[in-house]
Amino acid sequence: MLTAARSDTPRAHDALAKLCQTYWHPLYAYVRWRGYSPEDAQDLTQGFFAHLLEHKAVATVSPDKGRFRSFLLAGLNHFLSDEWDKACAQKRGRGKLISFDTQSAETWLSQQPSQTLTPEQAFELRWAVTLLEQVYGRLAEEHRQQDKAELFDTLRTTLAGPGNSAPYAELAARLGMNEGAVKVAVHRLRQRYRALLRETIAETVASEAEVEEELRHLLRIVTGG
Amino acid sequence: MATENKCPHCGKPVPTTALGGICPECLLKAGLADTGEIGPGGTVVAKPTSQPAPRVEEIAPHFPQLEIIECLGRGGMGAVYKARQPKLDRFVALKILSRKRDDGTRDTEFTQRFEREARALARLNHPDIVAVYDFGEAGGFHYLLMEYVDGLTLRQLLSRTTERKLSPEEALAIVPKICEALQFAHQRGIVHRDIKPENILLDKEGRVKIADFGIAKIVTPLTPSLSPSDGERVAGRPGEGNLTQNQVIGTPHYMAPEQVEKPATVDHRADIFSLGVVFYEMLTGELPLGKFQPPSRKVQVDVRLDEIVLHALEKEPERRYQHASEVKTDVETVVADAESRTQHAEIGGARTQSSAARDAVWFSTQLLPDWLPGERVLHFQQRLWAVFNHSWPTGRFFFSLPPLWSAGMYVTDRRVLLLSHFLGIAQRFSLWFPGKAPDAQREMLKEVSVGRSGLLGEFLELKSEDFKPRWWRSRELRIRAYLRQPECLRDKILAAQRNETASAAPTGTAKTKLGDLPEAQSLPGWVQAARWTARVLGTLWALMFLVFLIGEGSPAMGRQPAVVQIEFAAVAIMVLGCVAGWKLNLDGAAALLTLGGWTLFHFAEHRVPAWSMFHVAAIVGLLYGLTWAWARKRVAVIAIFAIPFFFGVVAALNLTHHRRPPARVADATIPQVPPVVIETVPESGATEVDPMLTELRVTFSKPMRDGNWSWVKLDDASYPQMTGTPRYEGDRRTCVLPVKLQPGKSYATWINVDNFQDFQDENGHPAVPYLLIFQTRK
Repeated sequence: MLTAARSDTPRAHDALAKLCQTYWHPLYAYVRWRGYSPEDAQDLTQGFFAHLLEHKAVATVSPDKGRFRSFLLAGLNHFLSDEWDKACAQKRGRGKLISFDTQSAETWLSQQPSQTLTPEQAFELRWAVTLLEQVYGRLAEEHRQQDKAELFDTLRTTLAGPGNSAPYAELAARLGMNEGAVKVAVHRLRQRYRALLRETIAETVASEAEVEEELRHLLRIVTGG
Repeated sequence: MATENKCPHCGKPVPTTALGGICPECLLKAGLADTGEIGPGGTVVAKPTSQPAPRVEEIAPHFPQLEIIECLGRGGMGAVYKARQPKLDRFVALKILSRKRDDGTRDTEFTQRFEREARALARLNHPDIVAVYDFGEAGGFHYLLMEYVDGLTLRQLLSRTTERKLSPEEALAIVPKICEALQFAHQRGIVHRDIKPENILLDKEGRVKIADFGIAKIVTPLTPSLSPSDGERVAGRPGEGNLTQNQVIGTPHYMAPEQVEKPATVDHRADIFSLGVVFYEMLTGELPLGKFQPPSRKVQVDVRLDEIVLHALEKEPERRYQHASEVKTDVETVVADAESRTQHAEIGGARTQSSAARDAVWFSTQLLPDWLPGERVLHFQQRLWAVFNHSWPTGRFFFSLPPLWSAGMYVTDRRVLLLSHFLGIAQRFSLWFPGKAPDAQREMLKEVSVGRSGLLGEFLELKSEDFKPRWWRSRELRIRAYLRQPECLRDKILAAQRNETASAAPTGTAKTKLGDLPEAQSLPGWVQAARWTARVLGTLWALMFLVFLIGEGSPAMGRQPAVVQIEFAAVAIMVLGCVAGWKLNLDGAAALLTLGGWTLFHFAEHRVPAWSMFHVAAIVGLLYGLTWAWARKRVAVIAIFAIPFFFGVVAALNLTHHRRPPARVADATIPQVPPVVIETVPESGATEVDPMLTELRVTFSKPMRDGNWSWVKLDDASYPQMTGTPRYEGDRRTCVLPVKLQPGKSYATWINVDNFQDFQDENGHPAVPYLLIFQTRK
């Protein structure tokens, strides 16, 4: 759970850096949605992370104070209102702390219905997607390491539910397996997916108990309800 | 990866992500819902998301007699709502089974089946079956009104652990109850058809309740070829009839093979199969899918359980258990055997430590008066028991600790019980002293352990209720409940209790009642110093004393055994004081224990050296007391502390008083002090004395009464041969004894001794005794 928030240790620092690397995208989306140009948004996001890592701000957040998501958003808001001027003067043009792919971020942003989303909603929506990307990436990586990349590529569409994929018979034919084996594989794939999803969420919340709650919250965000 | 994909599932546009074109919404939904799984026989469970439950507002108008509170859940069988019956002031569970068809027509077959089955269900009256209060149709909804169970489903219980399983003992406690309920229903011709962890509820008292009896039969037509009514899903085989989606009700993993293959022939033995699946899952955390391993291969359980589980999971109903009661009997046989073996093992000493110590710790927490800080004492007890269970070489001594200490708690409430406790212990103390084999010690350990000794029995067997203190009565109920729990649950009870006490007294509100201190940084320097000095000094002192008592102070060194015992007890009390100071921060208790032990020691010892190491105890007590008194800032507290200290000081002064000279020299006048020998001829201790010497001379510090003297024999041989009577010289300070000495001989004579005190000054004070001893030259 949220190692980054535990203490002011090198380990916490590394964990924070890793989380930043993972969740830059929602923050970037938020800054962009607030109306900054892509260049400014990039600088701001970098500046915010520098600020976080430098001030060890996370160390002051106790794990029971809530989710990493809310914490980051609150911190970013604070940073944007107060720290920007200062940070801008000092940090602009400095080396990048983390690398990010603004191109893909911009593509995603351009696909969102801009008129209906608030910056917060954009942040949360992108957060949910980033989280799913994490899970998906880990799932793919796991399969790749077990030399099951082909199986994963074929079955990955079944992750979202039965209606989302070709019939099992077709999948079975493609993989050269029998239908029963495909069903078992799909079942395992989904189970692993759910476990990874919860694991990944657990990294951003304070306690095991909050995982399901966060999951439901994310679903609400994604369905726009 | 197209940029404007449409999700084939929900139809929404899929934005460009790293998800490989999968719709995030559907992906997240799939992650949330634990459904859509692949079951045996290639069936797929109906997705509840595709059939949303009616909203509370939607159904509320149809149930004016109920206050619908919330939707509790939704499954393939329909939705369940928590509701209240205002008239009866009770909560009920409302199960909505179906909705009216869109075209307004009714499935008459369904209605008939529903009424027939519901009536049968309402007749099922068993404590382990969720009762059906009412059923009917309202506003197009078929509903069942059922008992509301406040608790968890077995599924929720399973998912609480990371391995998603229970301990074998827990599983074995639950399974017989399920069997009972099933047997009861089966005898009345009702088959559950959907036994699974979701349908097994455990209420807050730990009772097992089976929900949804027979509902599957209501909502599932017996032949798969019938077209399903709206909101229903029908079991089927892949490619069979018009059911291309292969959907079935419920969770197919738990279904008996014949339920999928020949739904029309299903009988009560299908429930036994499902029970076998549940049992397997409880034990191993996994489902018995495909070629599964017997439970004992996966977890450490009795091999006979494998037989039971596998017998229940037989593919052919004919080869399975024929009655649920048979499962129960078999499980209970295994449990009973395991228990008796456990007890046997305990007698052999194998499991004594863990279970006996655990029980003892738990029981002793129940014995505490309310004002004792439970958490601290619990920790203390555990340490104590750890020592106790460790069979120290000095075991005899440590065996005495727990009875003494538990007695200390009794004294707060019932002295009579204390007495009876000690009477009981006294018998056991015959084992206390010499030469018992380790086995006997272990037996005694069991005997004396608070949980199992006569101590508890004495309490429980008391008939007169008013003899028990009020705080005890509630505890007794708890203890009785605890004793009914199977071994396996006791650890959990203890753990839960520990959490409770830990969270109940986070800042020490409860524990300050005894007057102790937290590890506070706010203590001023001198108080901290006092506390630390007391701790260090007290520990060093206790260690020194123990070494002394075990070594020099033992009966083997010629001391009276009774005194040694009392002194051990005294030291035990003082050691408790040390522990209370170091480990519990109970400075007040530490002060009282230290001083109390110190006083007891003085009683045993009768006399004390002028400044012995035992006085260190008084200092330790004083420092603890000061710390405590400062923290409490109350005169009463200071008084309580001061009383034993005062008496201790008085006792010490009295005891040391008569060892000292009656008068102090500095204040005395010369006439009042006794005369002393200041010079002799020859000197006492001289070796080369001339044998020709004819007079022994002794000179006193002041003039003596003339005519009085006491030259006293040490023995006949060493007394010099007198040649005349003694006489005083001019100033009467020197007395002369005429003698005849022989060469090479030792001579000795007392000047005043015992009853011979005739060397006196003019006021009649006898001279201080003196021994003149010398040797003549050869």
